[in-house]
Amino acid sequence: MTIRSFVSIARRTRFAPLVLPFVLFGVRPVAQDSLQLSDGRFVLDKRMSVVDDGVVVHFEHGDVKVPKALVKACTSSGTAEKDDWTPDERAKLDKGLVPFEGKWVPKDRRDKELERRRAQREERIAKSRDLREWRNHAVLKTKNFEFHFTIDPDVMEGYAELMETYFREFTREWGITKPPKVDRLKVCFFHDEEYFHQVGGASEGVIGYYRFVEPRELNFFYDRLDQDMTVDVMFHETNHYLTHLIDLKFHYPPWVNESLAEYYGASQWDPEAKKMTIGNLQEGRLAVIQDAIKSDEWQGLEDLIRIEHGQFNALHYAWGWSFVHFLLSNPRYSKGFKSFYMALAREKSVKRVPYFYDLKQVEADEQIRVLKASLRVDDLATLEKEWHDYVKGMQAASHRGYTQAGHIALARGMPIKAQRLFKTAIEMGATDPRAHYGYGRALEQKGKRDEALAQYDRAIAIDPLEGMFYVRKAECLGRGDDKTNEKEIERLFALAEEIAPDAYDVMLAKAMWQFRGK
Amino acid sequence: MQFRFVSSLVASLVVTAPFVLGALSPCVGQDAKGFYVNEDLGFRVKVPEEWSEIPVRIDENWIVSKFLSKKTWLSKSKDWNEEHRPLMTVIVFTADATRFKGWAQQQRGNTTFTRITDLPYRDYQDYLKRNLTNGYFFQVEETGESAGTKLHRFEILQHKRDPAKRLLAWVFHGEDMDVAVEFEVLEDRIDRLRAVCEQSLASFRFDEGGKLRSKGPSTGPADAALADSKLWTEFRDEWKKAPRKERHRVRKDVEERRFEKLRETTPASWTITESKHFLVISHADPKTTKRMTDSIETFRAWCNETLGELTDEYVRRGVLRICADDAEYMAYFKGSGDSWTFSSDEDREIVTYKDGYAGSSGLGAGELFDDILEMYLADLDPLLLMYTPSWLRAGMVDYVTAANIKGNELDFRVDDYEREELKELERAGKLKTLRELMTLDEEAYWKEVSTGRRTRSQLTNAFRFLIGPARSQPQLKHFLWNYLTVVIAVADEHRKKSEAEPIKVDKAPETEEEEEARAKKRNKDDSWQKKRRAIHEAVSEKALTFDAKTWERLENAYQKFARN
Repeated sequence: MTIRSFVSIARRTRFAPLVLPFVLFGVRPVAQDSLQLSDGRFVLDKRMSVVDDGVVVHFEHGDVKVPKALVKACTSSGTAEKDDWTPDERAKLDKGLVPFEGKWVPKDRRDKELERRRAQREERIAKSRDLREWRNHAVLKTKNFEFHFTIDPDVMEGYAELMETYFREFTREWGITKPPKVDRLKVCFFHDEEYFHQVGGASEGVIGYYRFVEPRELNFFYDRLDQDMTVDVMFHETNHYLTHLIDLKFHYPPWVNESLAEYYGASQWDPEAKKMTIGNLQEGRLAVIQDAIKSDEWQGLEDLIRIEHGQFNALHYAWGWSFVHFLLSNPRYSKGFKSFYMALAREKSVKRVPYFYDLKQVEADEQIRVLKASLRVDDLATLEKEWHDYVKGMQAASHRGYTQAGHIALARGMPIKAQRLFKTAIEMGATDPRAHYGYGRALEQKGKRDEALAQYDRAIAIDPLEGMFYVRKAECLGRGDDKTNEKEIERLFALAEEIAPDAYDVMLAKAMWQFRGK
Repeated sequence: MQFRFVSSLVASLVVTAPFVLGALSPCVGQDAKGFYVNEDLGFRVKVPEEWSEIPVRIDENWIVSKFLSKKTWLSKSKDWNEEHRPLMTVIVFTADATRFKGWAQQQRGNTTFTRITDLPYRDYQDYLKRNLTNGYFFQVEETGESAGTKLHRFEILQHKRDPAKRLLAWVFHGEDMDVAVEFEVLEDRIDRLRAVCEQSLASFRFDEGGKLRSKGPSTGPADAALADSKLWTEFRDEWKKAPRKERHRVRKDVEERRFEKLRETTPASWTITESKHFLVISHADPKTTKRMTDSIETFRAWCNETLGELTDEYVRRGVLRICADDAEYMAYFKGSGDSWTFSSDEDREIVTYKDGYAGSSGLGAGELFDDILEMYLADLDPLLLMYTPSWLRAGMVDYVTAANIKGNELDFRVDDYEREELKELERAGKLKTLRELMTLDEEAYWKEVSTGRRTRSQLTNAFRFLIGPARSQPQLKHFLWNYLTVVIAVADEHRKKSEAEPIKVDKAPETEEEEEARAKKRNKDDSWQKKRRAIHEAVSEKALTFDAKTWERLENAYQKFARN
């Protein structure tokens, strides 16, 4: 079971749903409601109605139905009024009674109860929303970590347990003991990427970081659309901390440090069995490598080792991960690689030089010497060939991998390939709206307008509060010679702006559309 | 920035559209009671005592005033002294400025120019989001009222800065504008500074409830479509067709308008003087101001002598701004992030400050010369900045930067680094030949300098030779002038050829295999590197037309020079 399932269970069992699923008669929806989504977002100050399969938010430019699966709490309980009363029911209504939870009660009593419950939900939603401000953030201490977070506390407990297990398993497997004076590691966990950049101070492009000098801390964020990615980053960044515990005064070279972190980043967690599975594929990275191979661009092993700090890019991450995966999957090399890793920091015979401040490092020539000795190989060329042969045999297996590969193909200007990859992902059961969105983009680029629109609609159905989905749908509608959709296009742009008033890309897309129209 | 042509540009270079600079003119200075009064926008706020006004850059779009504390505070939390002087900033968001207009259009002659405008800041929070780095959060966020004006109170903790800083800001909501008054202080000194900041904040008043007069002033991004400097960069051919007199007049007009704006917006405590080639705006003492002015005039005279008449363009006069100290210098540069992209080609300002460590020895004067040289070359011909080979640019820049002023003369002294590194190269047997240095292409140059400074030191030394002893060789008497003339000719030819090339549109792939083939081809596309190499080879071929004997003489002379 993956972490996604675990989180779903957490949602189902750890709190009572706060949305009342029954239909009420004769109650008008309250003018301004609040909605808390299970992925951490909020919709505030809009009129809303509860329906069987979710909540309808009444925006000025259209109604948007939020599926039940996305709803955590809603202050609204109002729906449409009933007209077809029986004579008996009419008689009761005339006496001032109304139906409420299977009984007929005085209207005042029902309204008072509804208002009480509404106020309670509003308070709970307001508290949850307040938690998203860093000044109000929550703190959770476990044995080895101190979590500072703005995500849902229920979700946080799950991640906390995961990290403690990871700490236990990794330190045991690698024979690492936390130095006595090292306190709990501070972990800052933000509710979305934007807030991570703002409060955590990380620059664009960074999705998590471990600060290895005092004050040491780890920062990452909850990706609502890709919880697997959240876990991936958590495993990756925590790995930097765990390997740092080998020797706090040693700085590992980027090729092995990042590659091992990527290897553990693909770990999976079974919360029922409390078991971690390592050695899974980083399918996004694999897609990158496979594209490079198609262009005959193979990463040399010695070149990889000689890459300096600051020069290690996304492509190197991919190749480096595959090399570590090759070594740790091969019984001939796995033990030797672990010895190599420990030896760099601890072995007395290894020559170390100053790196920065009081940290030491090992230079490339010495790394190569130690690697060859640890793996018992005479030259890197043979090892490189074995590694490359291993990579040729790697294949993506999950819908997530195909979705990632689809996005890469789209970014590289290959919509035909992207269509195939997204289609495969969806057929394999991808529920990420971005798979449908990406598929729609690929179809649109090849002129398949109607199919593209259907995919955008699928993306909207899964996540109806993503502004750019409406923008793309609007732009797609505007393609071709048919001018009958102008009103709908205008409505979609306006709706996108209502849903995402702070989104710069929505604003710019609308400006470009208006400009082209002139 | 995008341009759309409705019709071709007529060679009419009269500036028809009103010249637009970013923000409106702030009403500078403080009144007798110590209030900063902005009469244009209609508000006032008391400035803490003895805080000095910092000029606002004339391209600034949102900030209307800044004041810097004279007192320096030391952070308590560091092992070593970390100094900070609190800064007060006033930022204005008018209703019109915060509205995203989408695009701007401007007519010049028969041509309509259209530009997608920058996304304006919507409010103070958005401004912070797009300007603050290093990590921050809102410690306090509440509504309130002061003297009948509704406001928001913010305290922003920049907890990832080292040392941490706090911003105290009140945003006053007027009918047509929001005015943010912000104080930046050390976090561990907030206890001592809060009262003085809040006293100032509480003094804020709108004159007319924050109402703008109809068609009144505004802040926000420039809504012009075309900066004047585009005339001679983007529309070179048409520009060159215009008579010299006309081209000079246009540039002088641009220059004078900027000077006028600078004069209007400079606080009274700063002095403004004019030398032959510079407008000098100074907050330093007269002796320092004169010394620095004389230095840059001396260097400018060298530029005229060495490069003058390379083209027939008018080289604009520059602006020298001398801040009192480094804190004032840093405060001057603090601005809203979107302010300089539009008209940065027109900015001819060099900013420095009185550096107590350098004293009046004339050392360090060279720090200004690099910028002056760059502006000079840009005005001679913008192609010089883009196409002068790096081997020459690097040598030239380091040569002038290391210069000092001795009396009234430029002393192009040899930098200690240069001397030491040449010795190291000689010891290692790695001194390059002159020809190797002069034919170093861009790829080779960047590869060399990425591994260390030594190649760069040798390039500086080679430049020193070429502009010095090498001139005794008849073919090199006017080496620099001749070489740069060739650069312009080759670059212009390349530009025309590129513009005339038809745009190739590949047939859209119809299968995955065709897509893969196209992606592979694009990955391996090194056409721009080939073009760059071709330009470099053309320049070398046309500029370095020395026969074998001349090369031999030069090499011998250079090797002796380099070893001395």
